[in-house]
Amino acid sequence: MNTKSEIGRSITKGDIILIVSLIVISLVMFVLSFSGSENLVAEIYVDGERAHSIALSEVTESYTVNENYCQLLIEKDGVSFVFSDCGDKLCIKRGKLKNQGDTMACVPQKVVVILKADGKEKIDGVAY
Amino acid sequence: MKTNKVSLLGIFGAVALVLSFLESMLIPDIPFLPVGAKPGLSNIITMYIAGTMGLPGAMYITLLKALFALITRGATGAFMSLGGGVLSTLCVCFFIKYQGRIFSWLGLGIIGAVMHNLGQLMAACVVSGTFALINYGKYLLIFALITGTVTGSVLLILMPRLRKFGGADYKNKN
Repeated sequence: MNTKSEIGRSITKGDIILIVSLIVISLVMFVLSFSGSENLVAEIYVDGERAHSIALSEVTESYTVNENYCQLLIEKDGVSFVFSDCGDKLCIKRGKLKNQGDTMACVPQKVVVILKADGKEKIDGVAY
Repeated sequence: MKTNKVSLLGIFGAVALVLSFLESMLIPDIPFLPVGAKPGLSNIITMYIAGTMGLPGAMYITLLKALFALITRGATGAFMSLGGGVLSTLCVCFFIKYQGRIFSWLGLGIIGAVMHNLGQLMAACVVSGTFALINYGKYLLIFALITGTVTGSVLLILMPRLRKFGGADYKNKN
């Protein structure tokens, strides 16, 4: 048997470095993205184009948006898919998006929702 | 290609398809898991073939899985399966070339899982045309670490035992 084709039987240093660095990367990504749920803007992309940009703080009454056979429920505290004409309904199972950086997509229907912090808020503060 | 390789690929291809079908039934909709994430049990087969037969065999399993996704889940599913499968197979085969000096099967499993998720996410970005979808990656990265550890550990335990029966190296056999 040629020993050259044997891949290490025991855990290597490389494994540990890989695991630790991936844990650090994912922690950093979470810390960077977690910044509350104030002044959120829900951006809805359809076929890769931004179709809606909704400031959630200005939503007083819940309403729905229909795009590409998908129905999205826009509420004061978040956005959720309520209907989609796709196979696995993963978009509906994702539930309600509430925090900045949250992303949700119905890939077969090419509808994507992203929550972003409202960048205009600070500029408005100066203008007032 | 030798006859025994053809038949082995057929058997392992079937096992891979059954595993990916079973895991889609087994996974309940646990709320804190990232939506659409799967444990990737069939990647154990892909990695086993990558380790024993090399890139062509592993790529065959990957393409077979994509074809299965095309039949059962449609074009979007097939494209995402292909995106994840091809990227992870290429990466795992690349690292196997280093003959385990850098990573053991554990590390290879994690690389395979992370690359599979990355490839699928990139495929999802292409299909939906929205690059910002890459945001979702942070959930998938943590999940891939866990599932990759599981698949890698299975191979780490399995391979030395299979080697005793000659089931760990088909490259030098007729």
